[in-house]
Amino acid sequence: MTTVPYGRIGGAITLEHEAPRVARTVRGAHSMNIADAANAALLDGPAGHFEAHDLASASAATWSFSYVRSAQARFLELRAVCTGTTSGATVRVKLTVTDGTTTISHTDALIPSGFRDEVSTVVPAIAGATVWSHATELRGVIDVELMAATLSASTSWTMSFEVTTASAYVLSLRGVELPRWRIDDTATAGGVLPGSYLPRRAITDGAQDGLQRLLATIEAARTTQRTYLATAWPRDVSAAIPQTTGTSYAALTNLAEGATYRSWIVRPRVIARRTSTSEEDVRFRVLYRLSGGAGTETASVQMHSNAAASPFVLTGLAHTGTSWAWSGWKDAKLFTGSGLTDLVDSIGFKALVSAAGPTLYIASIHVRESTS
Amino acid sequence: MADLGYYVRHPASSTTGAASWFDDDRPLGAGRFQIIYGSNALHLLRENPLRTLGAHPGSLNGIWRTTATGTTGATPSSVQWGRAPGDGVLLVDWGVHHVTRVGDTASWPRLRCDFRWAPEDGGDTLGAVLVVVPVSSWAGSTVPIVLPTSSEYYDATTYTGSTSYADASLTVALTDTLLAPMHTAPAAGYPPVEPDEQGERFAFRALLGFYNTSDQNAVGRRGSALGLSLFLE
Repeated sequence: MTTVPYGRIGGAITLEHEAPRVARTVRGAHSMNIADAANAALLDGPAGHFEAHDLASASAATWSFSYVRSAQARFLELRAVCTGTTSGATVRVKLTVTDGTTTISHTDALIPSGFRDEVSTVVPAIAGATVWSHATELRGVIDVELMAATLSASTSWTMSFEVTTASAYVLSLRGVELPRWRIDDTATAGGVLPGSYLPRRAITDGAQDGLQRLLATIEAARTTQRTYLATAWPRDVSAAIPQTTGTSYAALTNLAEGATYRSWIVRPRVIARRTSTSEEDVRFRVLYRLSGGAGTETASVQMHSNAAASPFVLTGLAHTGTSWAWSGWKDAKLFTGSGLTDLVDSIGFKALVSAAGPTLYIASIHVRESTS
Repeated sequence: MADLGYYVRHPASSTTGAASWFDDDRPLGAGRFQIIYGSNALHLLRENPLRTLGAHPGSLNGIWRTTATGTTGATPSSVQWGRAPGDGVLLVDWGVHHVTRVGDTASWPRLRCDFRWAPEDGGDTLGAVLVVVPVSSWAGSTVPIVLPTSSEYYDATTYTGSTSYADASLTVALTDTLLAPMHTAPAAGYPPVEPDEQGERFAFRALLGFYNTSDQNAVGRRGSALGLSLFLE
């Protein structure tokens, strides 16, 4: 195993556009240049994230996010920006993480300070200043690579933040994967050592130092999935969270724009060659509760985009009583047609229940790329 | 360097034997090498930095405060940035994000924020301002008391004359001025573990604020902004 520091530090990658030629052998620094490019595409680009805004709850409420670790990601940075409305205001945040089988509690050594249910005193904004200027920031880092050794039953994790506020707000709660600063030539998505491709070295097919490793690095950069939407509402049916009692597809209450559904604009990553009909793969899941009624009803959730097969439907969501449950992942598409002058698509949701009686609540949505 | 502008599919790197394009003692064609390795790496180097950074469901009828009066000319000073959530404003801290240059160029990506919005009264004007703050401290947590007012740091737009929902988009071209090296030593867990990797990243913090010239909390005079998203393009 060899590890070396990696740091692009804002610099540009040099790729010689003219020197390599078809029908000539690879020579010089071509492979090293490609190794630099592959490392930059992979190690600078973990793309997992989630967030919610304006959290407040005098009695503890829980925001649960769906999270899937990018293969090359090691560090997930958590930030909770808090402000008070009066002096003496406090915030408590308690984080638990689960893969559905094993749960890591807030007292575990993997959970950083600030998210271990400590009481943090926060101060109000000062008149004339921005609301963030004197905010208290709870900041911590999770080694998600280390956490994956414990949470191995599933790659789809739930990060649940139990928040209790007293005369305070959590203005934003966010998790963002950090880039990497180290190459590890044995880790699955650990990058490639450019020095393995020095001019005059033999061209080899090595899994650590040959073209196989270089190709594996490019592959890992390709399969680093973008997160297009990852947000949450409190798991509290008395709060203004997305919900419906309708038996035909319609926008969810609290997630509507007038009579239609609320939509988010996203810029899809383009992998395939763009044609007039090209699309890219994504998938989505929701955290839901279906309660009330006879207990035999089911629910369905549609994700709308501009792809040809839209809407994409999660069907048969079972009655949960007073519990919350994650749906399975549903494959979907985003449109990337070559005719687009503005390469964006939109994401929105509708839902229904199978019969009158119960209410479907949504507390979290995750839309993630699904590039193979 | 080959530059096809898309990712060319190929046998997996783990493939061996006759199906492998890159195996021991198999001839290595320069053309194949350029396309599979060079073009694909270059394509990902262009696409991967252009990622989604955040999303916000928005505010329904929660926007009614301002310091502005006109139908145009939104600036950071039009927004009441000091208000608490629910107090007539929609303020979004999009957080700290790192960026890398796009492809094999020296260009930084462009920051873009999209949403849909509408005032309840077509005679009122909604305004939105996206501000970029360079992050230079290692913690990256400091937001200035007064936000930058130079036009290169922000984009702004207004909407008036209709109560129908309309698309809006704000963009800020990221430049060396708007970014700053941010040293990051990710000490994870509790007690924090000294990291065996650390380094620099170029980072910014983005803030979004809305206003409504109605300046009164009355049904029929409020405004909405829904489905907010932030991404690099």
